[in-house]
Amino acid sequence: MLRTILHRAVSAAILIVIASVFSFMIIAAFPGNVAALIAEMRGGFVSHEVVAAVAEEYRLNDPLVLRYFHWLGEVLQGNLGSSLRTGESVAAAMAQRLEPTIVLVLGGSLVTLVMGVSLGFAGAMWPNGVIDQIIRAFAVFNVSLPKFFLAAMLIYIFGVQLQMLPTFGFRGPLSWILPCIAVGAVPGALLSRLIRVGLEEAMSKPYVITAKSKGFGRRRILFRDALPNIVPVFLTTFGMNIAFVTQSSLIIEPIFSWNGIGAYFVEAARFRDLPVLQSCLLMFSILFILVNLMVDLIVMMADPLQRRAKRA
Amino acid sequence: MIRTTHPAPPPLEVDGFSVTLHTPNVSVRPVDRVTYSVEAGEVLAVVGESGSGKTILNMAPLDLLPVGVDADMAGSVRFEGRDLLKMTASELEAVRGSGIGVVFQDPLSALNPVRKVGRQLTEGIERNLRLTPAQSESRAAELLALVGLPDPKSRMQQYPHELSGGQRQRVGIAMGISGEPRLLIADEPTTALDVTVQAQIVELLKDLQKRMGMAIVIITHDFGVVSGLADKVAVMYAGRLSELGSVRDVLVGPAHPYTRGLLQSVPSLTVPMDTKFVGLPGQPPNLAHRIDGCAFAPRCAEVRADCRGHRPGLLSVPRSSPGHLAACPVVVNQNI
Ligand SMILES: Nc1ncnc2c1ncn2[C@@H]1O[C@H](COP(=O)(O)OP(=O)(O)OP(=O)(O)O)[C@@H](O)[C@H]1O
Ligand SMILES: [Mg+2]
Repeated sequence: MLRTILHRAVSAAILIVIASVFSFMIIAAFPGNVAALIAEMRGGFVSHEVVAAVAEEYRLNDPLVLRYFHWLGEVLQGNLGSSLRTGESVAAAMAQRLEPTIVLVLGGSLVTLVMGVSLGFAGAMWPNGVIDQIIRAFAVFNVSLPKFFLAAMLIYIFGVQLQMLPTFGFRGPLSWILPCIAVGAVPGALLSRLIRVGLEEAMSKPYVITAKSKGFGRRRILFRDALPNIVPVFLTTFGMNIAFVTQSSLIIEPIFSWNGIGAYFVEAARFRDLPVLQSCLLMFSILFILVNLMVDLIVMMADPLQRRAKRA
Repeated sequence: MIRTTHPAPPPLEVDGFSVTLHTPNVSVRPVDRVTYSVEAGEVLAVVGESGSGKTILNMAPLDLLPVGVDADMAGSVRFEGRDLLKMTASELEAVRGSGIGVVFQDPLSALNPVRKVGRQLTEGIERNLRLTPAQSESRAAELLALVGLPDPKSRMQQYPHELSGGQRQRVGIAMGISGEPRLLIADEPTTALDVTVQAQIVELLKDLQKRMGMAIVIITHDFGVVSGLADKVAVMYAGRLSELGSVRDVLVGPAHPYTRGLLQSVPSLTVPMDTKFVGLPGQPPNLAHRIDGCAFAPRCAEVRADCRGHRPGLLSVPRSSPGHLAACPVVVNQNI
């Protein structure tokens, strides 16, 4: 058990190192002359001398390995460089934009969770009932939608037609509702489908017949016998959904004019603001790896077959 | 006041009971117009080759068939006078566990792999005996000790995969009797156990049956279990009863050629544990096909031309006890 945990932690650490190398390579391996590009973005006259100065500043002429460790050292001290476009510190800008993204990721995950669990259970409780049919149609419909389409529909219905909810900007809890739904609905539909299918699978097992023979009814068996069997699948999927939600922030933040990290990333990509891109990529990768590690460990703890395999 | 005393209805009366299973591909009839009864405190053994319909016969009326198997039932199966086939889902729920307890054939798949053995046992006790969790816990430990599981308290903290096959089977038995049912249906409860343990389990069931006044239907492949535990035997062949009678009549004077075939090596009433049926030559018929005439005819040494004409019902065996029935006109007529 302890060895497995250690093993997972080490693999995660290795993955983070690999992710850092890839992030680093964004600047190092950028096609074309990076120094010229940076100099150009700073404006003014781009002479050979200016380009050379930029190359010196970014240590573009040093050996790659040396540059990597220098960069890593800076990152570890919290220095992510400065934006080519605005000149402001990337770390400070990210800190400033963290709040909307955290709200979006947590709120979106909450929507995913509530939707997935409640609909999934309702479907399993009354198989082929009205709710089950609706979920099934909804899941298929929802999954095949582009992310922005749902957001656009939400904006149109609740913002434009009903004028119930704000659709623009990050301005208090009311303004959080639509973006969180826009982000969480698709993975929520997926999760509900998964829970529904997992529960149905579990409900076809012989141990369910045993539970029935003790006199228990369907609802009780669903919770006591089927539910524990889908916990690993559920946690894994939910973990993946967090990553999915995070990734959706790239699309959803700009749509709702939220100044989060997702919007920051999109902006940076548009303007080829390399240090910002690099930092966002690094942050997203680390978040992704850590969430996965956490889910893996929780799944392991929750699964008695794995938890006690060594002891038996 | 005048009080008329009705005799209490027997625990189990099966009357003209048929089951047709519908699967996506085929429809089969693994139980065909079966009739028998089990009196209070009586033990009935159901024997027969694999696939003869023993499990379906006993599980279908309780709605305990595997998920996805769609069963049509006809006839009646009365538990203490009430027809199980006419009960609503919630009435049936109330019967299961406390009225009728079940021990399943495969003890590994019958236990939930991700729940502790103790919880799976105590939840039924809590429900059926209406005990508190603490009381149920000590009752469960008692039961596990009773079925011969050493160190019950720590076993209860384990998961099914941490127990051996025999231990799981004992847990399954403890689970079946945990609700102190008035009728116990035990589907091959001793198969995975070694001979000494089998004998212990048979003793245990006998003891429980006496103390709790429980009636038992036990499905088995083992004539040692039949002779050690049962009062009556029902022999099943291809979905029908081919012979029915007291253990004494059937083991000592088997009438049906099929029963005789099964019993070839078992000529006496006291049979040691772990005496399995001898294998009969040939195969039982495919239940998905229509069976004309006696289903056993193709494998029968005493087959006559008219055996293939119509399928015989149960007939009283001459010069035997009144309840001794066999579905073989050839033998029955010979003996008159
Ligand atoms: N899940 C199923 N799907 C379709 N048909 C089935 C199913 N289970 C049983 N049957 C049919 O019912 C017949 C009787 O099965 P049953 O399980 O009652 O046999 P059994 O006498 O209990 O055998 P065994 O001694 O092997 O347990 C089988 O021969 C088969 O044709
Ligand atoms: Mg069986």
